[in-house]
Amino acid sequence: MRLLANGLITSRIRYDATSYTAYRLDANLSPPQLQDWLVLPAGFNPRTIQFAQELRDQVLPGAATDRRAQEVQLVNAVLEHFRRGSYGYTLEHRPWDATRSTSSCSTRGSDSASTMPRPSCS
Amino acid sequence: MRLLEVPARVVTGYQGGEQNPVDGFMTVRQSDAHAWTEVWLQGQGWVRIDPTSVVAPVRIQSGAGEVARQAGRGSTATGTDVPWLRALRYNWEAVENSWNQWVLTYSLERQQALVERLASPPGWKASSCCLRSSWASCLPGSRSSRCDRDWCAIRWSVLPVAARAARTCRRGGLRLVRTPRALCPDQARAGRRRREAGAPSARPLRAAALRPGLGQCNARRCPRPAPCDPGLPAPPQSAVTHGRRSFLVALAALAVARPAQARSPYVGRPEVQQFVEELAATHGFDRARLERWLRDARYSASVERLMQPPIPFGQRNWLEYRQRYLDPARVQAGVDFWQTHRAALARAEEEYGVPAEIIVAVIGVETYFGRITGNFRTLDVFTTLTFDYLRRADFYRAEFIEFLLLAREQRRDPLSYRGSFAGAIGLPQFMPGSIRRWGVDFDGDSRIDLLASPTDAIGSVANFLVGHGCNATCRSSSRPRPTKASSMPSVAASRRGRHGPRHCRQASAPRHCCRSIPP
Repeated sequence: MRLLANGLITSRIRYDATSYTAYRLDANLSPPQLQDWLVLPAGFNPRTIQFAQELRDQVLPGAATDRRAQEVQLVNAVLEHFRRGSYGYTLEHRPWDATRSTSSCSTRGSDSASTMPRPSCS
Repeated sequence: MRLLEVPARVVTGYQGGEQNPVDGFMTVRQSDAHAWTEVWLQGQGWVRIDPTSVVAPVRIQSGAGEVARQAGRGSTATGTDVPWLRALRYNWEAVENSWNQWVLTYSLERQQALVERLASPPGWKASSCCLRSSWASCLPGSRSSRCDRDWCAIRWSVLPVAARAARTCRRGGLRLVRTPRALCPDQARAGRRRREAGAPSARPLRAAALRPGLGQCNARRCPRPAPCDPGLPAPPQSAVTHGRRSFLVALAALAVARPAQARSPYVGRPEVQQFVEELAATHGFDRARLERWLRDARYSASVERLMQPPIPFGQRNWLEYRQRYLDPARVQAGVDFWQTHRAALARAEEEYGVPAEIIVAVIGVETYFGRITGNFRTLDVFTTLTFDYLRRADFYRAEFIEFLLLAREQRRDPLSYRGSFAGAIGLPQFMPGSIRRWGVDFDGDSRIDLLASPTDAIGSVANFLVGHGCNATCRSSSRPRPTKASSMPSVAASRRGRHGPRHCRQASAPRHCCRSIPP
């Protein structure tokens, strides 16, 4: 979702918007449409790929056969990894300290801090 | 998540914010920016999964400010945490917000709306000199510089100056209100002289016609005279100067806004007069009747704004656009329209040879199957675009004439038509000239109504397309060509199998046929 102006915005503008906190978005996407959201650049992040493989091997054998239930379990497994993995959240812009990175891997924050794991974190 | 074959995406936005206890507004800052993920689950669609919530719940529950406080920084991007300073900041921001809400965005349109809302007890002639001169002051040279921009150029730095100016101005305004109009008779004469002299610039002239004599009046009362000779280009001025002028005007408008009696911005202008003469001479219109219509016509600033050419975004992504545009609701609306009007569509297909799906698609693209046909008074659109928007004045002048002829043929009051900001009318958004040339009475009620009669609209679209070289033979070759084969519109793709590929008769036809209704 994006708001696009019809021209350059050179002055203060006012617009009305309504937010919906309970929403259902794109509940019926077809497999080809979903394909866009599965694309990853090839040849990057070997350690993340390995981590994903390990997680899959760990979760899926015991998981339900229903794809939907499997996905939920995978999501929960990833969140659990963050919860237990000594990740931190910070707004400080500190240089990356490679010596701290192996076991307690604090994600470097910015103001738009995201806790997505970096390759070296996993 | 994508590695686990779960569709996922990153979403960026803002999380949290701070409610100002002074005025209750929520302030969202850059420091509240946040990124999270969404995964797609069958039957549920996109579901928000925010890893931050498991790593640092306080960020989600209490916002970025709390994270910073706990980190011992004592201050956030928003300033300090000392209570009295925070209170000061809240008050300061509340003042700034009021300023933004009521002064900076107190635009020309809202001023006019206010004046219209206070609509006059008859005989109330005077608006404040300063309020009116604000409009006048904005107008010289305004084809390039817009008032709204000026409003926003105001900064705190000019506040003391502006406030002083506003006080002076308000006094002047109030005095004028007590003795309406009589103060500036010389200016009124000057305005008339200018009109008679036929000064070239259209909008300043309009200003002069609308409110004669304000420039000089303003010069006497207000510290910063507005340039009031419409013949001269406005002297180059810094944004701040403009802003200051606009500001004092805004305050004056708030303080002493009085309803101006509605007057036509068009009758009395020489080019309008010439237009009337021409219509009377070539098409036998009654002058008095034309003038009566023009008296009711209003200049529309939003029409002019909407007509500005868009900033090119570069090549849009067809896949993305299609996904956004061809959503299930629109497809369903199209199916409904097709079902409801299948008899008329079948008849059009038979009589004109234009495939029903193309007619449905044209009406869908133009007005969402008749849901969005525009609510601009067509007469206002044409007066504005013929006399005040010179970029396409020739085209609109011709269409204006077509419009008046159309209204005469249909025995309708020109004031009764409503349509798009560009003058297009009805379900298929035909310009008046197109209605006269291609419109057909397809429902047999002896009149062509492209707004009220979908049947007429269907027949007219078919007739228009045939007139532009389209028929059943150009069914598939006229489609917009997507970059990927997989992104062809799926409804169309499913039909293609049934009919097989077809080609246009004429080599030049595919580019034009079935493609566009002229703007």
